[in-house]
Amino acid sequence: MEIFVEGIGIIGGFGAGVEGFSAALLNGKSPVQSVFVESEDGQKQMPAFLADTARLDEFVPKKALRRIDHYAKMALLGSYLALEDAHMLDIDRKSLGIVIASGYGASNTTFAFLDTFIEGSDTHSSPTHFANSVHNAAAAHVSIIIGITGPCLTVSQFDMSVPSALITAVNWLREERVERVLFGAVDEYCDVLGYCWRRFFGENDGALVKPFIFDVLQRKEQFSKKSHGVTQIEPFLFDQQTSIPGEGAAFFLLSRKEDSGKKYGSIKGVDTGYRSRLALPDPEHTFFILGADGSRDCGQRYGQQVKKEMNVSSYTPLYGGFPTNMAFDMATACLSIKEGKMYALPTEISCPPSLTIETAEKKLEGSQICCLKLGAQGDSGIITIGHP
Amino acid sequence: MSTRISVGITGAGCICGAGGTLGECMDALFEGIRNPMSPKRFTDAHPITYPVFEVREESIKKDIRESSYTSFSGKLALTAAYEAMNNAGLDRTVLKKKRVGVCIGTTVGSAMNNEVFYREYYRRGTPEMAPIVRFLRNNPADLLAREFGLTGPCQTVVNACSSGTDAVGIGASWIQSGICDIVIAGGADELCHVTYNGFISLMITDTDPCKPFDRDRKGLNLGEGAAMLILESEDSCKEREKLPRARVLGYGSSADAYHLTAPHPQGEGLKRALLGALQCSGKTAVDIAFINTHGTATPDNDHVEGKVLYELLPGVPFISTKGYTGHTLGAAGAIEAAFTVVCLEKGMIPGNAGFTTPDPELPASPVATTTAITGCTAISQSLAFGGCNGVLVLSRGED
Repeated sequence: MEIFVEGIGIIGGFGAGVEGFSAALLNGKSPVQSVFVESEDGQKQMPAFLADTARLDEFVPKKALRRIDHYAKMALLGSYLALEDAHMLDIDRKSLGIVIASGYGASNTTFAFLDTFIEGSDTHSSPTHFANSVHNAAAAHVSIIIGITGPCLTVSQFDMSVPSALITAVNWLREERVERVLFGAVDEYCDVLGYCWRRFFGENDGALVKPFIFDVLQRKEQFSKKSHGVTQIEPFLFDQQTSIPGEGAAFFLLSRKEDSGKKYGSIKGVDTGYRSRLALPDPEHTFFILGADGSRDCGQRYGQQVKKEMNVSSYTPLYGGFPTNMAFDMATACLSIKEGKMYALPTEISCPPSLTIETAEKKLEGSQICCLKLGAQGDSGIITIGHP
Repeated sequence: MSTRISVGITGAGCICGAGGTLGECMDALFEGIRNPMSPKRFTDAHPITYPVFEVREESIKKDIRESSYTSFSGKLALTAAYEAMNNAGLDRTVLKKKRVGVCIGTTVGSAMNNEVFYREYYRRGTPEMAPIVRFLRNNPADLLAREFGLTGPCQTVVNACSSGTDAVGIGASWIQSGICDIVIAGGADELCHVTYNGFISLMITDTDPCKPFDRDRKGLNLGEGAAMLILESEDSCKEREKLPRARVLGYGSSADAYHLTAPHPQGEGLKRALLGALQCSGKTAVDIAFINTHGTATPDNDHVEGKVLYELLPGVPFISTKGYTGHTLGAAGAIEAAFTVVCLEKGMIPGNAGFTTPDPELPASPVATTTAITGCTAISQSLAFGGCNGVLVLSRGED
């Protein structure tokens, strides 16, 4: 049974909606903002791709959003934009399921809740912050505000949250549990994550703490004194740390039938797991979008898995590094299928000669697109989008 | 829903406040023993103590217990998973030849809310990273996949308190659709100061041992634990010549679309999930021997659940086992599914601990003492923050 993508709702550093995202893909650029993170030398400035949810006002009265945090707002806006894009804002809510993937959940509210009893005492703990700190708060607000009463699921699998959650979304459709699924991914930036980012990935190439190497538990690490010189993600420099944190939401209206006329293609395959050898689609008929986002720990695995015969590209320089950015790769694949072309590589990306990188716009001519995400711990995710 | 489910459960394991193994837990349930106590692993500044159901750390194998790389939720998950694997007669050699997935529910096990780390960050802004490394290495599904060398899909379900039920339902769906031969499905969650404060702030926590469905119920007690079920395809069972202990026959899920923390007053979401699970299983109310309810002992939850059960499954005996375990959040649905399996095998259900006085506002009361059941199919259900409802229909293995 084919599963179709009928609508896309997407928010990130590039703006909100398919139009903004398409413009970033066509221009090969996306605006980068700044954040300040704590360090032993005081606050340091760091680039980040941040999302704005102002467009939510188009769909929901401000009053209804009073107690909803940024994390849930991004999910809510992504959901509305996906329904609008599919011309299905009046969709039957009873036969619609929700599946949301998130690497870290509502980070800001999680720590805001801790603030309430650290600043006061245990008796000052905020029930509102607590209720909104649970990972499924975004799915809950989406279901309450849009009125969706079908099955509801939130998955948190770090870098593999997106393919893992998509497996279940596709399965629900194949089981005919629902007519459609609003499938999405959301992650937010917060100061604590910025601090962790700086400690793990260091400054320039000087990271001392590796999140997936255990000896950190035995030794006391020190900050690198180097300045943060990264201004651009270099997805293909696998041995360098060039990642820039990001946030956003990417939502998709999935269906067993294609009614919207948008022709975003269908899901040809989705898989995830811990495997040393990946069953990748035939490179002769496939373009690969690499989820490499400048993280050196993961980059080394791309270096091992990506072969010369694979035509590869990467668009993470347009949206940044965060656990669920594979959903943005998937959105890029869907838009490429719709337009019948692979987008040109974002501007000023280094292209090592050992790889076959598609730098210019190229016609798809019937090829499918495989989004490939490799985690630092040996985990992998594959989502393949093709013509119905 | 057009697809029917019939997926074997060939092994089960459990650790919680009631005991260190599934057998120990069931002995405690049938002997009516429960051990609510003051929290031992953290201190708090509340003027009143709220009892919890903690796991006895000695119940965890020494090598797992002493691992500094593993979170407590991870230790609970590993303990229950090893018991379930042994119970199913599985080892790494067998697993290597199969497509094995992992689907685990949790809440705390997936939350980046380490208090030691964050207090230091709050105070001076530059804490050491070891607690975050531990967090990143302890996603429950990933942890089990790496421990047993599994190559199938990993999914950590974070649907709050219905996570464990949903994980079992989703795991069964993976088997039914041919994605996996075997799935380790369950839930794991630890007690922590953060959630303790959170539930107290919501004013739904009792200062006495909880009293599910009782007239004088005042709220829940938190607990911790893990339970794992080994779900296995028909072909894999045949190949291994393994008879399932039980079967997952149905799974239903729905959203209330009503409120972040309160259930829908008429239980509309729960009704949809129940009917969906029954439809999926091909069973009707007359086939159901008993219901293992969510039964948290909060006034709202038990009121809604009691009304819905009376409406859709009138006369069917029901219990809450949270009087023995406390509310184990993301693990609860899995623990209760494991208890349901054993009750079906034994042909009896334990009394609903904490229940003494019927609530005149509820149309039915739970079973108060150990009771023989008639039939071989049962329901285990969960309700959650965010309005998630998850329902499993389980049957005895030979039926």
